[in-house]
Amino acid sequence: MHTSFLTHMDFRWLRIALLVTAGAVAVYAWHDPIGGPNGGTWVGYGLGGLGAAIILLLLWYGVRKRRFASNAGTVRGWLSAHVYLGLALIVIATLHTGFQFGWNIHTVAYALMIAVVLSGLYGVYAYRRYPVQMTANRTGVSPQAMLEEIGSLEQQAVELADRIDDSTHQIVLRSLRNSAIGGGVLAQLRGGRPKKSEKVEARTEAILEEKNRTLVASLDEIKQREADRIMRAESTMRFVAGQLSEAQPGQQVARIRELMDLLGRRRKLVQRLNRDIQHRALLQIWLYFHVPLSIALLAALSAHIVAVFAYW
Amino acid sequence: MRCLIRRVIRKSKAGTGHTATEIDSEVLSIGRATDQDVFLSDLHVALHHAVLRPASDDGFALQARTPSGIQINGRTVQAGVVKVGDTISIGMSTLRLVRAPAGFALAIEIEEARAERGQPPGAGPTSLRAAGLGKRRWAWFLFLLVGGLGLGVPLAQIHQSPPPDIDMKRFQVPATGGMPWRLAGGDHLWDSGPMSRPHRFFGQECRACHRKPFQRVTNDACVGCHADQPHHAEDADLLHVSGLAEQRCASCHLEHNGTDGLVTTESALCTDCHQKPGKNIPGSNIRSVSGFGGSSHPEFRVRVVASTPDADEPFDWSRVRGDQTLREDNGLRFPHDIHLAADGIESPAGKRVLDCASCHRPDAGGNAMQPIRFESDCQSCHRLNFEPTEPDRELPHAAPERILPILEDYYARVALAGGYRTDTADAPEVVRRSRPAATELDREQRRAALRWADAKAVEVAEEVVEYRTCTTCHEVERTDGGGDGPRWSIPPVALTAEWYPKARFSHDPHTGMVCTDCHAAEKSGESADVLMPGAETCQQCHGDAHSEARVASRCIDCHGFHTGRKFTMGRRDAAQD
Repeated sequence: MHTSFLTHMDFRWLRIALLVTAGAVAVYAWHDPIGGPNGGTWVGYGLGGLGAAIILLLLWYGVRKRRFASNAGTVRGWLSAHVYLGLALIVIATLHTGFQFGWNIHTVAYALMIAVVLSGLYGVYAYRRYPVQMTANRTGVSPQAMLEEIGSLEQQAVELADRIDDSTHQIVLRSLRNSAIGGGVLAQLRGGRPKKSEKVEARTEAILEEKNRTLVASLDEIKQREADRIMRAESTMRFVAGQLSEAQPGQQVARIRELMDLLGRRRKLVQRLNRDIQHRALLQIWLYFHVPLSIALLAALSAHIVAVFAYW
Repeated sequence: MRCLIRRVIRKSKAGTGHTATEIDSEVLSIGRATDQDVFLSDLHVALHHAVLRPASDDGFALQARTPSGIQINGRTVQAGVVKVGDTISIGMSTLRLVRAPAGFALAIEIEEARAERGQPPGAGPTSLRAAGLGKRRWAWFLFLLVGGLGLGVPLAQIHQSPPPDIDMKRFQVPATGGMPWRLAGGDHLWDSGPMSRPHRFFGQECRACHRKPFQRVTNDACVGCHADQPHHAEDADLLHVSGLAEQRCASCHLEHNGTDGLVTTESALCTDCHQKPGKNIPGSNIRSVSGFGGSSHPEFRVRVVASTPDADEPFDWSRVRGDQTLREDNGLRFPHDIHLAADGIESPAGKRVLDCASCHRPDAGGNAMQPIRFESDCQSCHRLNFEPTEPDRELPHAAPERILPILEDYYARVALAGGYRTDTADAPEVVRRSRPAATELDREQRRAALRWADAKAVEVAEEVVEYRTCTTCHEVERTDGGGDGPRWSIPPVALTAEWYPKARFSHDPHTGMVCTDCHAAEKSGESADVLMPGAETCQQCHGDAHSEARVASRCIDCHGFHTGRKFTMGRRDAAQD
């Protein structure tokens, strides 16, 4: 059976984290210091020291996972410890505060720590949820392959549109331009700009449909006229000329249908690719909070410790 | 408008090559049609895609002729103004406006990205990193911001300014030390919690107390103001042995821990030593206290007065354990039970029912009782009148040797005035007969009158002092020295005002109770009875600090810490004794 970082070694780090948390809660509950619980009692200093040590250990994970040659535990074990000890930190640090908060560097450090842990918690959720959805969405096709396929479909579409007429070409160009792949951070998180794309594509389809209908209508009319003409044909020469003029609208109809088919295939592929981009964005976005905030936490933690002992 | 069109031709590793063409046209057309001035062969370009015409000195107006629009510097628009340095993207081609060489109004560098596999021209960034999101930048920014404000600025302020003294006037205006850093927040971000209300006025100056970085706050900072705060005990050795002499004020008085003040109320601070006084002070006679439960607090010691043979200091007070029958010798004769009789006590106005409050009045603070005084508390019943014909005239509450001259004066006036109505026949004629005020008496008459007056004064004094008035409350002893007239001695009276010198008790919070709940006055027939309650009485209502069944009472509810008078926390420090 596949073991994830959560179940690593039969939940070893979960058990350790629970033990540490329970110990902290027990000591906190037992201790009844003068002036009420706060960070300055011996239990407060103890919990603070423990919390700081855990924070440094969790920060070291960023170093350890880049050291491929290291033998200090597996990266999966480190991640397991990272997750469970990080969650234990919420309890330990909260007890360390003695529930005293204020507008100061101490609470800044606490708030940053909570923010880092919560972003990490989202990371755990994302890693449980999105990889499965990603695999289902890709069906074995890599995003690069999708991109290439879209490129090829677009190339065919513009070539075809160009052969129909200039106005069709322009419409297709606009459609391609507006149903965007990827985009900015927010667009990626939303999965492209689905609403705008839909509107543009629906309009393009409507225009092409209309064009198709008028062409088909005129085709029927021409056919009727030709049938009459054949009946009254005076010479073979004139019949062939008639056939040639008839061929033009027929081909146009076929091209428009092919074009619509191409655009439809492209649209589905763009949707899939955008969903893949969205999955990847949702899978990664938390790290852009988790990592910078944890570095800020390192600064706040240092300031907190210096402040506490400078103004002892 | 003369334009130079430079096309970049990508070559393999060798580098890039250019072709240049010149166009002279007012309006520059861009598109895939062969008649366009700028011809782009890419199928993503419309036949007539856009036109470019001069708009201002250095700007050119670009107008799309197809609904798919044009990208100027990455933004898709229908029309816009471009300048040298701008980039126009159409389909897979990039047009850059570069500085025009002399003689040309415009130079365009065209690069046609030819069929780059896999990247359709409209595709945006497909990853967060490609969209410009970076961790490193944010990490550095936040690290420097938090580290700067949280560490750099406070340390800079500390470095810039010396620690100030606590001075009320100084803190009435904003502080200025370490100025540029103070404006940036200074060390305020280090404040670990709200300061107590009395100290908040210098809260803007952390260094008033935190005088030396990385050193705990010393008592110097506290005694700057609180130099005369009494220490805990009178005995310097005790203060040293117990460790109190060297104790930091801040180990009990925790600042930055809320606005409600610094007086710690935890009993643990006291019982820390007092539970086992012998541990720190071997052979100590200080008794063990661990709380106010049944056995955790020793019996109260009541201050009891006794008389001494020493005339200069006739009384001596000693503290005696209250769990025995206590007797005191206060020099007074007073039965509480008769005064508190339910059916009342005889008074000049008839039967009168008294209660405790008839005589015992709380002082202005509501803590103790006002001292009992004869004039205010006794005299309304125990009248000091002496003459039946003038019942409202009273003697002062004074020693007999002062009473007798007053009586002599009074009866001399009565005798000389005449008209004294008396049933007894011993008064001479001159005393009894009424006469006009201007009547002159002869020598004989005057002598008779004054002789009667002197005798009458002694008679009345004997009656008042020995039989009727003084002796009601005082022990009276006749001590005639063989001289002229009688003499009496009345021993002094000492009514104890402070019964429990080591504790504080206030009657005020106890007004919901009846006096006799604690003081057994109804059953006391003698003033020698000590009516002060023992610990057991208090413990009927009061219990330990953690008691659930009684009023939870802490040490500090009855006792103070700073009660020693000999040493103070600052000026007369026991640590230097």
